[in-house]
Amino acid sequence: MPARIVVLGGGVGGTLVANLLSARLGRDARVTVVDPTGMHVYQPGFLYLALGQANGRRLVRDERTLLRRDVDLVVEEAIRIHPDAGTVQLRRGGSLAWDHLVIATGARLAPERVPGLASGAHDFYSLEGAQRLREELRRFRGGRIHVGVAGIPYKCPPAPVEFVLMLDDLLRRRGIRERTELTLLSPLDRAFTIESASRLVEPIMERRGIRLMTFFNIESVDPSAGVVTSLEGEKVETDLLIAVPPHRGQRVIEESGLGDASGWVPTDRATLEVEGHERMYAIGDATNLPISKSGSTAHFEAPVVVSRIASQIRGSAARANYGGRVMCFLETGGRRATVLRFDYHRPPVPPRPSFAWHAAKRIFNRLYWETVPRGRVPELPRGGEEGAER
Amino acid sequence: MGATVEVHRSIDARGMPCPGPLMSLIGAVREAEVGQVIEVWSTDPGSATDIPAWVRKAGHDLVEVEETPEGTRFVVRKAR
Amino acid sequence: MTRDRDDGRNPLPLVLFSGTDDRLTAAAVLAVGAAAMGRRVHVFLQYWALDAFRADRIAKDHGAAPEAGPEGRAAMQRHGGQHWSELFRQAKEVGEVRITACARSMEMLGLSMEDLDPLVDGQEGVASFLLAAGDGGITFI
Repeated sequence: MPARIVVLGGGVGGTLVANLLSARLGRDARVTVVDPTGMHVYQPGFLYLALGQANGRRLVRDERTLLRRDVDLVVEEAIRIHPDAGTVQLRRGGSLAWDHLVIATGARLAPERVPGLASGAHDFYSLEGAQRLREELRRFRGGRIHVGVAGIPYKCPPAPVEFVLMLDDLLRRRGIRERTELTLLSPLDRAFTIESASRLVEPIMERRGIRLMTFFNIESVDPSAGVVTSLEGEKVETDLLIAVPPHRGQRVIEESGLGDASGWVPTDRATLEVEGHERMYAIGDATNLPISKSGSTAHFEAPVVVSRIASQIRGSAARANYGGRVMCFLETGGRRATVLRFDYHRPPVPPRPSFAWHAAKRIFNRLYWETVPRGRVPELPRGGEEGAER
Repeated sequence: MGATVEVHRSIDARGMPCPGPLMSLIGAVREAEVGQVIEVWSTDPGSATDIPAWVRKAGHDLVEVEETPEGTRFVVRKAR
Repeated sequence: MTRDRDDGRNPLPLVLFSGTDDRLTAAAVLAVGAAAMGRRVHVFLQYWALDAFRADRIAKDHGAAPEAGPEGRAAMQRHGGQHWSELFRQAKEVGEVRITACARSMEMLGLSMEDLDPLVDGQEGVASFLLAAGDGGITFI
């Protein structure tokens, strides 16, 4: 009797887990992915879309085409998880039974939590948001642009820095950089949380005349006055605010009573088990781990969950642990990028920004559909230290 | 010996440089009610300066800083 | 996690024969791209490409292929970009790129390893290069 495994969420984590489980367990398991839209979105592309460098159509694919043949796909919203009964309730009334559950539900945007944000700011955190921002930037003729953060945690910590540097490139290409005042509103006392990376980008920002305001966490926006207020008590006036919206866990998590105060799933940092539930795992943006909410995190977590579920099914001792491995590119403008590679034991040592790392990121973007979701995990470019978890 | 402070939310950010202990603390303070206490565990040497700096600027209370072999524990009360 | 890098995973064997800047830049960009994709790159330097990697000559102007003509050269100048030696350096940082000198060409040109830029990792014969290249095709620039 095959083990029934349900994977909630068809994003990068869910898709990879489902494919790896199916490849590993074959007939010993029946794997089902549940996703509300059945469409797989390559979110790292939004930033490029907003800057006019990517086509929205190429960022979305039918999830069915990314899953192995023997993985089932149910296109429905899961509304409730019942851990004791081992079921998941679906919006249209049905229910799925599971022996093992993988929560890969990601994060949702909650701009309504910050007064004035929805009407007073743009963002590149959704397809629609990125498209609207692209149009706004096309119309932009000069003025004050502020790029900031209205909630933590958020997906892709480097994104605001990348955006402001690449926006600087765009404004220069259009010949309107002189007429634009560009400011990064950082939640911290430096441009980026990783100090060594911050030391790389701050001189670049300074050379390009990009202002840095520190300890500025957006608290509210007055859309008509164009005023942005920080929770540290400061205000700025702007003509165009681009802000990372607040993020929360998905409603199914909250409504199942499984989430913390922000809807994130309490998860063990090594085993990736949902705390208190040994047949339930969580990966990717959905967890409460204070780790990067990035595709690479889900990508490196997936094999650990697969290994542990396989051990449970086969009755062997689970040995795989997630070692905290993360790998993120950081575009630094001017067709250069650096890379942030780290794990729980090895801090990042970002290389000097180069064209080669920028090429690596662009190539990764292009190859994504052929590699990551299908479980053909490419050996990501290394060139140095690496965290290998077993 | 002082009374133990009741912690409403505990964040173990040891070995997690990104988003990092300070960012995670800021996120938790944003979501908390005034008066609630958040603790953050960090192995990042920069936390010793940047956490107190933000707490001061944002007008909250740094209740305790405890150094242990496993990392440093910062306890913050949301004051406003 | 299983390392899905089967060692034959499309390694890119590149034989560099030409010593002009345009061809060397084209080769370097290929190397960067392949390295970025996680492919192993094995560059084999022969004749005038080997000559261009001499420590005392690497940064000098190596001109362009005849078909470039004056317009071609002007276009290259306008396009700018980094020197091919820097691109090879970056490619090595990003992935596995090995650059070796053809032993026969070394002999012909009267060179030893000390004469070459540190980008060159060693020297080998044709047979050794071909063996390492495996069953796939070889690109000749």
